[in-house]
Amino acid sequence: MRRALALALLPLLFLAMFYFYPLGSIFALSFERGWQPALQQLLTDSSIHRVLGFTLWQAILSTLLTLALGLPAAYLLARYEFPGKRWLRVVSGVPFVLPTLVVAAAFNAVLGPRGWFNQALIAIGQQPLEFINTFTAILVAHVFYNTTIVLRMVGDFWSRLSPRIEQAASTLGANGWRVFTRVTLPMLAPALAAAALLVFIFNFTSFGVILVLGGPRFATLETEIYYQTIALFNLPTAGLLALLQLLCTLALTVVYTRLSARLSRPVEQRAPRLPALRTQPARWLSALFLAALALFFVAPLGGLAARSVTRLETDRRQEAAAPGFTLDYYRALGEDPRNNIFFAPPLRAIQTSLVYAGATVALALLIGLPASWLLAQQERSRLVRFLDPLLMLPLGTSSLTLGLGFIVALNTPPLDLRASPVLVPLAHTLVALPFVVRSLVPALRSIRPRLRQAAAVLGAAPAQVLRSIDVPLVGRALLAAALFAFAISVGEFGATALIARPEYPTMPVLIYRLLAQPGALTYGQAMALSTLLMLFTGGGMLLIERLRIADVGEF
Amino acid sequence: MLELRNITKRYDGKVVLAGIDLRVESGEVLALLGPSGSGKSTLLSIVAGLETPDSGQVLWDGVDVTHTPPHRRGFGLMFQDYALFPHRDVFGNVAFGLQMAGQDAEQITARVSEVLHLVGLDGFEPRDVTSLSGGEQQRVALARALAPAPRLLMLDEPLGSLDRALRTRLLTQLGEILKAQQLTSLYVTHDQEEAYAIADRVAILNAGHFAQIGPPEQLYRQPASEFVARFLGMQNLFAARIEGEQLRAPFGSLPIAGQPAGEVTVLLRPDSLHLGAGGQYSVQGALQRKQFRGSQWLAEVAVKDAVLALELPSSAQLPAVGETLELSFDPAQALRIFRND
Repeated sequence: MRRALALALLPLLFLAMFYFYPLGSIFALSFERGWQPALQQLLTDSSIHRVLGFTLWQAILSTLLTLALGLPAAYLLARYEFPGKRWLRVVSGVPFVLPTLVVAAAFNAVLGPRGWFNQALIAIGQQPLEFINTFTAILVAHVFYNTTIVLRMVGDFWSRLSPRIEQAASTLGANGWRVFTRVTLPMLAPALAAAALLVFIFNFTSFGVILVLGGPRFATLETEIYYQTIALFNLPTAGLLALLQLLCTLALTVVYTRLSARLSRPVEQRAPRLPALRTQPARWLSALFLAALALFFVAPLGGLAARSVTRLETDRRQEAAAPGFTLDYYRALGEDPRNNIFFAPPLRAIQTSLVYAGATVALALLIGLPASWLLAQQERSRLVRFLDPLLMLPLGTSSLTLGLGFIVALNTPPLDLRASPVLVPLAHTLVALPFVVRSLVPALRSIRPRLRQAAAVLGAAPAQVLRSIDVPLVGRALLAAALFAFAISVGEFGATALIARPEYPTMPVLIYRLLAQPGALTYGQAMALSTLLMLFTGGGMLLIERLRIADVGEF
Repeated sequence: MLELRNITKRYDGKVVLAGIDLRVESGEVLALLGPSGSGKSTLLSIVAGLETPDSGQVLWDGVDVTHTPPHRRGFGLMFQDYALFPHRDVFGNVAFGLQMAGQDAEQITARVSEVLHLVGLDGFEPRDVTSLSGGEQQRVALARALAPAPRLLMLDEPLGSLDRALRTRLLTQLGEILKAQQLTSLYVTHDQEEAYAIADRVAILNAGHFAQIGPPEQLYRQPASEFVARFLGMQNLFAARIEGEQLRAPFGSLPIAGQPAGEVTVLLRPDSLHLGAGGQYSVQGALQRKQFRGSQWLAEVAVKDAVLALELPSSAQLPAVGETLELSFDPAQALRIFRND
């Protein structure tokens, strides 16, 4: 017990100082003028209502569109065998792990004013298509992000439902439609509801996509917190919005946790052999649909990478340069495009991001490891059972709220960290902690005493057991957790946008600034920087996937 | 030769093993059979050196190894849940014991492919153990335990988590491998058919001590106690009383010699009852139920206050249900009497 307390001390202290204290400060700030004015503002301020209304509206619409695209694909994945199936699953998951700024830049590279599509239209003398700064852009990006959730949650659940149940229904006289509405849909309902809610939560708290692809015309709770803080410095209103946001996400998260707990294992676990589609038209139609879906996932990312090495228009400064393949945008990464305090050479942003990420990795492991070790124990004391949900709380809190909390709370004594370089890694650690813990705990649990015994019986001395069993197993998990922290840190945008020092932007922050600037070279720099960020995070996630070891013998 | 002397072990004051004595001869396969919680796995852990007995000794060829750490015993153990190393492929798992023994790479490669061949997994070396089926994992676990050629091989419910058809097939293979390698083995199971099929001798463990040790056919013909008879699933066990020279059982009274008076449990073997009046003792009753089982009939006959279960050859001519039939048996063969004390 005493040892558990000692190990829990650091994580608890960290959460108290950098999660609860900042949130408490937001609370205090919003009610600075007393309860009544705050409540009155919430109830009467029509701009707050408008913001909340739009947040809900875009989240609902995005969710419905995601389901509309994801469900047919989930059905095909669950019920039929077709070439490229594995590949489609992998490809659909890629956007999900990418930073919002990379996704925003990718859509910009394909459909933006300087993107492939519009440049092609201009080349053939057509009017360019307006996509960036439209509602459509927000919706498309959300669907791009979240379709994989529907594919995985609903598709996997569906594939484990025995087709024999549906066959039984049809032998009892139900036609195709009735089988679907009376049997399949009710069985799918829990998975469907959980997936829809999760997608909704992500859309509800979306920040980067709205800010960069929607532009200033569209305000959700998240972007409004940002504007109120950065542009208007109206902290009480920002605090009130953050509070509203916090209540909404916590309520949604609670409902989601309830729902996903009901996703118990369905009847049949062994996947039956899947048939190919029967008729020729059905085959063509699904092939077309799935190919379009795959293209939808691949095209923006491929377009981004390609755009970063292609010149489509001549720059004012480099009139001699002809359109075509170029590495100029990468060469220009050392150049400061604007040369004022709000800009930095991209190379410095890369450095800054890497330093912050390194610090985040160290901090997240320092705090996550003792916590995970405690959570992995067979016998869990009351203290540990209390720690578990606590560590997951940052997951249900938007990063904008976390960032605002830092600004409000850590600017004044007792904790004056204003302009301190540790602020950003601290915020990133908070965001990364749930992921670090969630990836460490199963790995630590997987080292069952049995494995050590098995090694001993096979002749391994204690030192050899440590070297051949414990170190490789924990080592891989530690590496995976570190990569998680790294990928989250380099990609984090919401909290960073609020608290990063202007002269030290991180990669996502600088990409945001570059995209907002005119000029072919700054645009090219944004493309190059986004491509690098995509490689960092994508590479990290790929490595994590490869490091994952399933446990054997636990049925 | 393995020898256990008066092994005791308790957990939290509860006696798990109460003075176990056992000898396993070289090359012998001994099955430890018992209900769950009878102490089988604890006994195995003590022999393997994963746990220390509270008192008693473990000897190998006369040498006391009670306090030798597991890695110096040279015993192999195949775990119930296999405990395969998830971070090593099939080769890495099977080679582990050989690497610990410091063998050179060439020897190891040769031995690994030899044992993988033995268990029928040729060419599985580079496979990821997590991707294997249950039966394949079981065979990798066996190969891993076999590879260092242990002096004693222990198997803890090795077929426990597999489905019926796979069990039957693997059981035969396992028996052949153990015999071909002339391995001294301890085989823990709760399934009597598994024990019969694989063991030279079966030791039945109950609540921390042996209820009976003997070859399978002896256990079946001469169960030593009511517990053994019940545990082996024998039917026709009745409470009875001996008065003078008479056994008073619910199915009738019959003369019995040389038994002191008192309460007893009597076993009337279902396969020792014959149709008709040929035997030394006969009873009559109504046929209550009959089931054709291919090689035999299973039947139930109400005789006085008892319902007797019968196993008859399928050539027997059984009357219709409800009709009376006569049964006879030879008491010396058909009856076993267990004293209730």
